[in-house]
Amino acid sequence: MTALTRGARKAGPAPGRHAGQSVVVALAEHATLLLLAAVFLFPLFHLLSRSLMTPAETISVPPTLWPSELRWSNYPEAWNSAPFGQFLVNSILVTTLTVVGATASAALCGFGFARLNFPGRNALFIIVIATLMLPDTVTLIPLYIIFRDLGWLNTFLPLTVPAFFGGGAISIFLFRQYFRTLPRELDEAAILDGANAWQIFRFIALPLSKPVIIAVATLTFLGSWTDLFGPIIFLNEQSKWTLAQGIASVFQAYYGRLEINHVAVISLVLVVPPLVLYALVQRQLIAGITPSGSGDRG
Amino acid sequence: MAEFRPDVPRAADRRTSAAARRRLREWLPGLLFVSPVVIGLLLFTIVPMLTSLYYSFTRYDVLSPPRWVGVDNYARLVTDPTFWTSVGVTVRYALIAVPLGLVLSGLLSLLLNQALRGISIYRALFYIPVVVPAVATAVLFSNLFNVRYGLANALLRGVGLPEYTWLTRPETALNSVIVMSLWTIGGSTIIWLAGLRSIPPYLYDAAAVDGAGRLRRIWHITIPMLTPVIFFNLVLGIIESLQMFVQVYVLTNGAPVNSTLFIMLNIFREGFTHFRMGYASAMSWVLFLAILLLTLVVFKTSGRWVYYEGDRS
Repeated sequence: MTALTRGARKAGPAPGRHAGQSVVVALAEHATLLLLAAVFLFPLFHLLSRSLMTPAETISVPPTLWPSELRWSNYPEAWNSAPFGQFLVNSILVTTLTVVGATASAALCGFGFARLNFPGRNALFIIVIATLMLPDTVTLIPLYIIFRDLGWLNTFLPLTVPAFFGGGAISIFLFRQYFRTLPRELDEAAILDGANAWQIFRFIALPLSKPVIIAVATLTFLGSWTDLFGPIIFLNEQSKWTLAQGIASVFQAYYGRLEINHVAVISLVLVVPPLVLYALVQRQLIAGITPSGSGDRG
Repeated sequence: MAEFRPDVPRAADRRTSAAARRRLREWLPGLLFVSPVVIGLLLFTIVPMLTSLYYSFTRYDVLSPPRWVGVDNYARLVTDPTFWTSVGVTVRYALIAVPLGLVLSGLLSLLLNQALRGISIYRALFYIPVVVPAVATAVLFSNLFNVRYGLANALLRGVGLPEYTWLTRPETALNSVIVMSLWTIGGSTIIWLAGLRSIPPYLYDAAAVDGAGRLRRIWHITIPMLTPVIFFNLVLGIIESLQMFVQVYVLTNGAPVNSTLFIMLNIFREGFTHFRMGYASAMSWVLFLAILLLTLVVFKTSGRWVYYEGDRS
């Protein structure tokens, strides 16, 4: 608490009351933020610099920050050192199916919880939220057996089919919160015009819900693209591996022997799509995941 | 669960069948809309949960059918030193990483709550590590932490501090995992910021009129108004840290000498490396009950320290 108080005093609690603040303080704050941002972003810079180094440079003591010359040949070398092309295709397939299934079904469920009446609605919603507390392993061990008996192991079905059934507690929660903020009068007017629940959902609620659709789709993308637990349990055959799984497996199998410049190259391939997506939808994503919908920029 | 409205189940027994049909017509759209999650809960959560509970009372190696052993698995947990090691690792991580992350993200949010030019760019920058895949984060930090040619030690040498042993020694490996976890505090910072911005300025103005100094305003306005945010971040932090898996699986796989063997890693090993599914299920259930209990305790005590303003929803 003392740390919090001290930090708060320095920073000041209320936004918008710094109009008369001296330039010196503003400069000091900029300097602090720039320094901190540099520290936070340094690991990504590090990844980039390692991906362009010679093997010798990556293990030089003391370490160097930037390669003496850019070794672009690392990229094809690393990419061809394992079937990463296949892993990438697998990841794209799994992620696309998951995003579509999760976003669509979460939107339906969220609308049901937010706008429609049925017995046990609140109890059901609480149960959905409570699943957040359930460790994956409680369900994964039986699911492994079930999917094995169905012959689904080493297929993408265990990773994608469940997404079509609700898309996860957080996605449903976000849609529900968002639909609750839409004015009820819209529904009422549509009902007078003879619209049914599906038409209200499809032609009134959904077109107004771009921010939350983007937020849920992005979060699902990130979850699926980076998932490791599901793939290492359900996918044993190398030809079925996802990109994250491929990197993790190669990294663990060759730990210490694999050249770090190659690891950095593959890691970058894994990191870049989420970063690009984040850059594109950053504003909607932050607005979507912040409680009380305060997505306005200060 | 207590919010089940008592009049609802009885509604089906209403006098006329016409009324019942009308009710059904009214409810049908809602039931259809939530049917994906109802089916999903049933197929992918509730049935597996009950199966897992059953497995936890059996010996099951996947190849031969499960054999009932009563509470043997749970009894074995009590005396299994590896299990207690993993509990110790997870609890120590949660006790240090969660409060530390909470305080640091809180401080960061205060810094990011300034009316500075370009502040929204800074806000976006600090969230970037959150979108970096955990596998890549682990690979990255494994390189930074390398004691010989890693940059972490180079930095320490540079500022004249002694080198650290990072992931190579059991005493320091868990601390390294905690350091790595702090890279992603941008996630809770976003929640803090939303909380800070929802504090109505008139509260500060009123306090200033009453002659309250800056410190008193923070103590009596900012912190009480932020208790829901602290609460939210605390609950999420606990749940997440108890289920820590991917980063340590890639970074250390539990090494050195089980000093980073988180519970989830232990369960994964028992279940999917040694194929002791019954034992792994018992462990999963203990973890689930622990998470449930902790969350309930936080919720129960929250009435004492969490302040919800008026009846804003």
